[in-house]
Amino acid sequence: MSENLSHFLVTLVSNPDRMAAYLADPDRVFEEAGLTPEEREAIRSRDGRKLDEALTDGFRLQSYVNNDMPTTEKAPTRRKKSVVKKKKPAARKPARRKKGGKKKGSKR
Amino acid sequence: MQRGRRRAAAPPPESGARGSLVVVGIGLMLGRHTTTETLDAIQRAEHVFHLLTNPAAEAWIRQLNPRTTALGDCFHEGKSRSESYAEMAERIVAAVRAGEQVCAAFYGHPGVLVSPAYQALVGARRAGCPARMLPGISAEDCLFADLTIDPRGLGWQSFEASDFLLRQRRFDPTVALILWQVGVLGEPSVRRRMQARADRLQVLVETLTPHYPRRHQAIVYEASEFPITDPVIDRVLLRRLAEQPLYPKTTLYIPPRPTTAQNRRVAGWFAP
Repeated sequence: MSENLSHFLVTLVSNPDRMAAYLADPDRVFEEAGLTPEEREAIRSRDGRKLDEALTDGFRLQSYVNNDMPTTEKAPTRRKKSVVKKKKPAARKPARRKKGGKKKGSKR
Repeated sequence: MQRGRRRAAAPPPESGARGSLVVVGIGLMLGRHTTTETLDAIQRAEHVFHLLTNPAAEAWIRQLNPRTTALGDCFHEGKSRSESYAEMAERIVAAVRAGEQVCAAFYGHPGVLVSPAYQALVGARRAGCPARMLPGISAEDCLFADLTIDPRGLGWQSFEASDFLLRQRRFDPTVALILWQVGVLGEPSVRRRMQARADRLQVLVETLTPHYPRRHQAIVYEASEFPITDPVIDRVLLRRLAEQPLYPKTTLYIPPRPTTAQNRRVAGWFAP
């Protein structure tokens, strides 16, 4: 792990003057920070993967993923209750009304 | 009298002093995505636990507060990630129970696909301690900005890639599709220099391609972690996705298939 490169990046984001100096003349800022040629190349590439590699020497276990893998357990199934089937009550036939008969309580 | 005051200032573990927990996300880009609310929480904490993506981010957080503990050592090759996350949450909750004012910092948004953050929150609350979460900038937020997508106009669906396959999630190909963690598709653990396995990616390809035109493209996306690097935005044919190296931090964006279908009655509401 390159502590010098880490320190360089933290300084850049924490100090606007250093960032301005870097943007104006990267080589001078690299020189002052004492970065290795590989580290300079990683920064010049603007490639995040290369910079990650330079920071960790490729030997850091990834921690880009912080979520559990999906569970493969099945959801608990409900135990079936022993259901005693009730007989449906016979549907009542509607009372037949006489044609033209007056409804009970109806007003005309 | 003096002794009594000392005791109150530095309570021994489990002394009854009430600990607390704030779970925060520092965003993706080093030192640039962190809200002032989160900065304040990190600086005020008695103990900061962190799980960050690179050593520079760890150095940055130590600069804000030297009382830090890294959680990355909970990962081991071959060890179940679930086990690692439970261990991280246990460490955080133990400090809260001991009466410390704890801040747990993760990259991105701590409420988006961060299991140990949720587990720690639940654990602290069960212990009777106040615990809350502060929002952060997620990879999806960066994706919308970098790809210049307006989710309001298109709508979008967002799934965890392994869960998407395992649960055979239903999706609408006429709406944008985002698949998180595609670089660790079907991976129960971690390993060095990790990349998605081509055979597992092929299963994803076979699930998706019947729903899209033959030349449909997907975008392999990685947010930028440093202000001096660029985001990864690689366009690939969806049917060739398995040939592409995908890393743990890769998010897959699949643009919607064109559609002209519409509800005539609703369309009538907008007719001049």
